[in-house]
Parts: sequence; C-alpha cells; structure tokens
Amino acid sequence: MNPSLLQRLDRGLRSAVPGLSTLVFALLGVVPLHLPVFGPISPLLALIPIYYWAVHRPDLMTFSLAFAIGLVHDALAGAPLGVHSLVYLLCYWAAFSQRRFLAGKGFFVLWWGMLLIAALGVGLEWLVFSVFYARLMPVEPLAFRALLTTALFPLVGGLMIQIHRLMLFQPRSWRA
Amino acid sequence: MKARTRSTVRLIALKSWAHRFSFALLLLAAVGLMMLTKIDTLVVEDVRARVTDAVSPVLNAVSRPAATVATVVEDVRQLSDLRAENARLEAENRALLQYQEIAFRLEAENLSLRALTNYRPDYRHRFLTARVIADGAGAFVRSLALNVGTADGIESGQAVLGGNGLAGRVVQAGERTARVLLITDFNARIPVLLERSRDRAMLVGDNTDRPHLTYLGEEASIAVGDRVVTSGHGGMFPPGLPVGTVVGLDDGLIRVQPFEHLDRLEFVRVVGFETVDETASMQRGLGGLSFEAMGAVGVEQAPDPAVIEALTRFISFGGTPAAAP
Repeated sequence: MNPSLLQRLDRGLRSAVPGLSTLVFALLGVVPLHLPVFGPISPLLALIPIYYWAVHRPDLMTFSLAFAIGLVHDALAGAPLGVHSLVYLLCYWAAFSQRRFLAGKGFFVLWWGMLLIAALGVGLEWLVFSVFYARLMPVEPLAFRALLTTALFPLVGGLMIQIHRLMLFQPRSWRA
Repeated sequence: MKARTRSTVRLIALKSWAHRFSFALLLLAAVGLMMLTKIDTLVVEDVRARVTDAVSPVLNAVSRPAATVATVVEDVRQLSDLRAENARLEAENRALLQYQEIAFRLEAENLSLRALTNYRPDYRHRFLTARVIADGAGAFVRSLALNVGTADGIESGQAVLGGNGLAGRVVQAGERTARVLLITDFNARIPVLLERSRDRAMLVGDNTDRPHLTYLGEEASIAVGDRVVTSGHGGMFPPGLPVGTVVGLDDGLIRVQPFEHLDRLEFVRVVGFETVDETASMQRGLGGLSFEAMGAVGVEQAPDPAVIEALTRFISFGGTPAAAP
C-alpha cells in the first residue's frame, strides 16, 4: 500500500524535527541577552540538541546537519566560518560513538554524558580558536561555559525528550 | 537466501564506510573553510552577510522579548535603590547644568576664534539608530549583528556608538544587516588620542573586557583616569568620539576601560560623518540631532514628542550665548 500524500508529509515533518529543533537552539544561542559578564560564559546552546539527537536519532541528525548548524552559528556569531562546524562535528562523533552506552540509560547517565561532551566542545572551541589566531586564547571562561551548558541540559534536554515523544506519537486511527 | 544475506552484509559495510567517509570529508571541509576565512575574507563575508540577512527576521523577533526580559530584571534590581539614585542624579544634573553653561561659552569663543583663523569647516555626525539582533555569544568573538544594512545607508568602516561611547566599527554590511566588530575584539585596532596630553596611540583589543594602548610615544604623558577619544587618523572615524578612560597597568599593558557597557548593548548609533558649514552651533546641532535620529529607519518607535519638547525647552533655557560673530 502506498502512503498517501498526507502521510508522506507527516513523515517528512517528523524526520525534520531533530534538525529544526537544533537550528532553533543555535539561533537562540546568539540572541543578545544584555546581561553583564554573561557574554564570555554563555552556553553552547546548540550542543545540547546535537548531543541528544546524536545519541537517540543519528539517522535523522546526521554529520552533515551538525556541520550545517555549526556553519549557521559561525555566520551569525561572527566567528571564523568552519570553527563551530568542526567543534560540533567532533562532539557529534564523540556522542555518536558512545550512543550504545548512553541510549536508554536514564536521565542522569545522559546528563553525565552531557558534561563530558560540553567539556569536549568548549575545549575544542578554545583549541581551534587558538590555532586559528596562532595565540593562546583566555582560558578563564571555559569551565563556566561548559558548566552552564551542562546545567541547562535538564531544561533543553527535557524539552528534547518531550519533542522526541511527540515525534513518535501516532494517532490511534493511523495505526491500522 | 545465503546470497541475499551476503549482499545485505555488503550493503551494511558499504553504508558504514560511506558514513565514515562523509565524516572525514566534512572535517576536511570545516578546516578548508577556516583556511578560506583566513585567506579570502571577501567571499566568506559575503556568505556571512547572506546567512545573517536570511535569518534576520527571526533574530529580530526573538531579540525583542529577550531584551524585554533583561529590562525587567534590570528594573527590579534598580527599584531597591531608587531614592539614592534620584539624589545622585539631581546632584549630577546640577553639575551638568554648570558644564552646559561652560560649554555654551566655550562654543561661542571657539566659533569666534575659528572665524578669526579661517578654520576649515568641522565634521557633522549623522546618526542612524539600530537594534542589536545577535551577539558573538562566546569568549573568543566580540561582535554584534545589527538590523540595518546597505539598504539603510550603512557602509563598512562606519563607527558604532552606544549611549556612553564608542562600541566598535561596522566590518561588513549586508542588505538588511550589518556586523560590528567591538573595540574589545582580538582584531580591533582604533587610532586614539589621550584627551589631556594629545598623545596619539593605538587601541588594541585582546578579547578581554579592557583593551590596551600600543604605539604610545616614549615621552607620552599618561595618567590613570585620562580620557581616551578617537583621533580620526586614518580617516576611518570622526575625531573626538569618547572611547574610555585609562585604568592602569596590567602585565606591562596600559589598559583602557571603555565608557560603553559592551555586554548589554541593545540599541546603538551608527555614525556616518560629513562636512558642514561652520555656523552649525552646538545648540542648533543638538536640536537637529534629535530630529535626525527620529527620522532614522532602524527603529520604528519615534521618541516621545513630550521628550523632544522638554529637550528643546531645556536647550533654550540654557541661556542665549553670545551670537556667532
């Protein structure tokens, strides 16, 4: 039986959810918050959905999507193009390679994984910037940036879990 | 059946290989892009401008509630010390009124001296008010995106002011958005002048909150608290824009504290400058300035007419200084 147009549209939209939700957080990450001293330690917001989807739906959140999200981040934040593409790609790969361990393990294990990925992401960001400008970048904000990203995981990651549930939800009438 | 299993296994192996290959390819692409950014900034800036232009409606919409929340937080914080703040402002206002008298007198004197020396006409600043719709969001990039672009007359190189002083420079203008490099960014270099001693220097950003001065002459006289203003050398900026104050030595570097709170900029003014006739007086300039700023396209809300009226009254109240000779 061929799926109807509506069903195909529905399926397409559902598979776009991981990418779109990540894009939303990439955009939110560059919105100015006008808070004092917040700038340097602002969290790498897009890293949370990238991590979540790399673990749970790597078929929908692909390498190329992580790359593209990084590119959008760089373009908007004024960073050299490619820096966050590289950072997100490597973080994605790290999460992807551990997905068998992380998937379905419960929230706290996932949260612990986020800490490691955030530390990796922030460290990589520092390294890439330092190499790009050929001088050592300040290290003071790094720990806070990683911790803040991790601290936001219950909020953003929790939202991702809800979105994931909604994505899998099927009305009773469609199941036959 | 067996053949089918074998082909499935082969397919899986192929898929996994393709997966790894795409990862390596994308890694290379990212590194390549960075190298391109380093070599050919024109192409990259064009791409950046297009992306920023494309998502600017979204950013514009999202930045408003974010700004509102920040304002509310700030308001609540200020409620606690309203009385003290009011007393401080009243004292400051009294002092400023005195300064205004002095400024009017000096301006009149200045105009007459200029007439005597046949001084070349001064520059007039033309302002365009813009909203900040994105910021660098990180420790390694100090830049902003504005909601105005070439369509509004923005050009690369124009100075950007906050409410208190210089914030940065437009480094790239898209059609509807512009990118500003803040004076604290690693790549920022601003020719400046120490206001007291008139010594020239270069203000260099290093991704900390306080940029430092270099190329200061051997015999330069410098003291903590000296005001630093743009020198106008290089023709990039109008001269005399306030930048910051010297706060002291740190690791052998002379640090400058910017006047502007660069981490909470919500609106900025982009400065275009042009020459005008020398009869432009400060009083008339002030009135003209507010109306020009009102006509700017970046912000939909015009200032409250009552404020304009009060300002005009305030200016005329300031006394009639000696007419220009």
